[in-house]
Amino acid sequence: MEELAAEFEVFSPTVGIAGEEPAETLLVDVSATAACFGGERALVEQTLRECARRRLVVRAAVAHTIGAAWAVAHYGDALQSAGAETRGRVVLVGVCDERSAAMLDELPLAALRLEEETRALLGALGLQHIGDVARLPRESLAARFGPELTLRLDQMFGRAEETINAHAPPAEYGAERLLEHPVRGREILDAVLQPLVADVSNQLAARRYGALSMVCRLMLEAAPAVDFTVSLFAPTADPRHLWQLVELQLERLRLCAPIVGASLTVTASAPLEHRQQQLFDEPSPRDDPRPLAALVERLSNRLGRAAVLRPKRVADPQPEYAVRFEPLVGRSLRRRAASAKQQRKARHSARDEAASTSPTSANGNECSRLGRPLQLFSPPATLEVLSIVPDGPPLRFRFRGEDHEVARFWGPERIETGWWRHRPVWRDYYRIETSTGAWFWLFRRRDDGGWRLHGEFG
Amino acid sequence: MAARRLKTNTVSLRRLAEAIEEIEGQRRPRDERPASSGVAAIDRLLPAGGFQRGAIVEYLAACGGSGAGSLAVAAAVSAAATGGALVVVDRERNFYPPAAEVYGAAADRAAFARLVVVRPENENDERWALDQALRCPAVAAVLAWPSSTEGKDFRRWQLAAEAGGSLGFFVRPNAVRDDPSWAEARLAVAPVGGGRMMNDFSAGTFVSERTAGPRRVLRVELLKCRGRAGGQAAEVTISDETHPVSVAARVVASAPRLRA
Repeated sequence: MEELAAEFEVFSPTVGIAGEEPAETLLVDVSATAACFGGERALVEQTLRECARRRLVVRAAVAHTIGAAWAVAHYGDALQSAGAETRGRVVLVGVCDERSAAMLDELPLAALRLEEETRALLGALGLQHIGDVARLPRESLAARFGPELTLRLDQMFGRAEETINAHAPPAEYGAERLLEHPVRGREILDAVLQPLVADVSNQLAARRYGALSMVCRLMLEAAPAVDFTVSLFAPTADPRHLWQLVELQLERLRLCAPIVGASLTVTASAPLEHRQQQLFDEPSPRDDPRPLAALVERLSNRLGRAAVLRPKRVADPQPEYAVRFEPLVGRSLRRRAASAKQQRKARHSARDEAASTSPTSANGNECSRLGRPLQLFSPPATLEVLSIVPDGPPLRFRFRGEDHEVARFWGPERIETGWWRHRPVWRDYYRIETSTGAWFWLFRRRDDGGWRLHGEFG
Repeated sequence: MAARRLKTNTVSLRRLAEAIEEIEGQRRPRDERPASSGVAAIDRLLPAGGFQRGAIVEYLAACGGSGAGSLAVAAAVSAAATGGALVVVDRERNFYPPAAEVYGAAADRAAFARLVVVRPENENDERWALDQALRCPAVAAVLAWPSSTEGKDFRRWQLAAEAGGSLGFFVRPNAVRDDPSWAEARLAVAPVGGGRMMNDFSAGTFVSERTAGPRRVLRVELLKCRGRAGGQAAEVTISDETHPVSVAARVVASAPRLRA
């Protein structure tokens, strides 16, 4: 919902989220911006298009008051029969004229955003629609049902003010320092950066957020600025931890010019996890996730984010695409939780599949122990075929300067991808055992008959 | 008289071996049970019935596609089955997880939820990454194909494994079999050639094994192990029908070798 609110800031600077969790209403103030979009109707249609793109089912309404808009959006179906101006899911209501005031009267009482009790009471009294209540004398309403009812009525008809609580965008954390004179030297660089790291971690800690990814920019004299990124596995606001990771990166830097300034910006953040300190019952060191997170961060920050990966299975017949490697650091926690859920689901379904399909069936090969090679060469390696037979793999071939003779083979396993792929493949795979007992995975391309070695069962 | 002396000698030899074991093994955590190698036949070759944590184990491959890597994967999965991360340091970027996932019993596959693949760019980064991974207490097993042949690198890794309590499984070429090693156990893996089945080249036909399920036969020789003289070997069959990788065929006795 917050993401949607942030997106909707395109339409207006004031966007608020209404309702308790799970919130389902967005209030957008379009009084100033409707003209930019070519009118209220065009604006609403554009928002509907945006929502359709995200596959959201929405009902929209534009009105002069928040109350009226909320009411019509939630309960506007009743208005269709009243001949309101509708088009698809858009309902446009102007409260100032008589016709629309009459329309609002037709809405049920629930559209007034009242408390349960009040609504129940009104229902017991036989009052069903807003019009019924609006016609009653105000003083008696206020005395009987409290100020809320009259307030809501006034808000709906424009007699009382109501404002939108604008949703605040996520705060930016950062610190910057510009130097008067250009400086050189690692110690001075440390002295400049450490207070910045401390400043950023104070900002984060104040809001109980932790950094997941931080960009450090070093501005150089008469040379383009140097950037590096520090990525984390779990959010942290600890200045020592952040400084350790920054130091790891600094060690690998070679600066060609003196520094005139430095800045740190947090590009991804997430709420800090609270961890209860355990007095007793120390978990075994192997189950503690913190050393592993620290290891992953150290490895990622020195070797690069793309060097520390988690493999994920992909349902793709082409072997090289059947697994996707994803970096472990710098990912938002929500995405990680979603992927963890997906992995659990995939594992359940894979287990079911393994139980049902036989090991030698076409797509059950992944479950069989000898179906796929442990080492897969990317791209598939070329081999020199020394002698072939018409039906089957080559009898002898040369690979990496060594000659191999095929003693046994299993196959072919035909792997074909559809013509709609960018680069479709048609391959006949063979598992072969050479005379020395080594196992390889060869395929013949069906389009040109060439042979490749795709992997070895090492 | 001679027989009694022989018996006494055997007894004192055994006592001596136990004393050496105690002295040498003092630095490592002894309370943890040894990790199975994933293959029952190989477990039988080892004195403790498995690998003691906090050490390096080397699998020497006779050739490419020999099966040494598969056995190493089975051992790594088994070591990580009870908890801890499984880290694969893959400098050559050839490691293919879908093939590795089928090793180990189904209950052990939980280890793959904690699989981390590290791809260093060069040997220096590989050396550092292996050191860091072995040293981490949350890591149960590390699998790698290190290209280094420097003794000091292996010493460093062995100390890191001791410090972190993890098991490092290295797949190395057979050419290093006579080099000194810091590994706790060194196993040479060689495939048993396909000459066993029919292949009639002379008659110009090429008989394939379409009917029988594919199976690989490997010969595993324990070259060295702390606490036992090397030299025993076993035959291991990998096939689709059998459930775990083991199906120990037989332990093949060979000429006892002097401990390296």
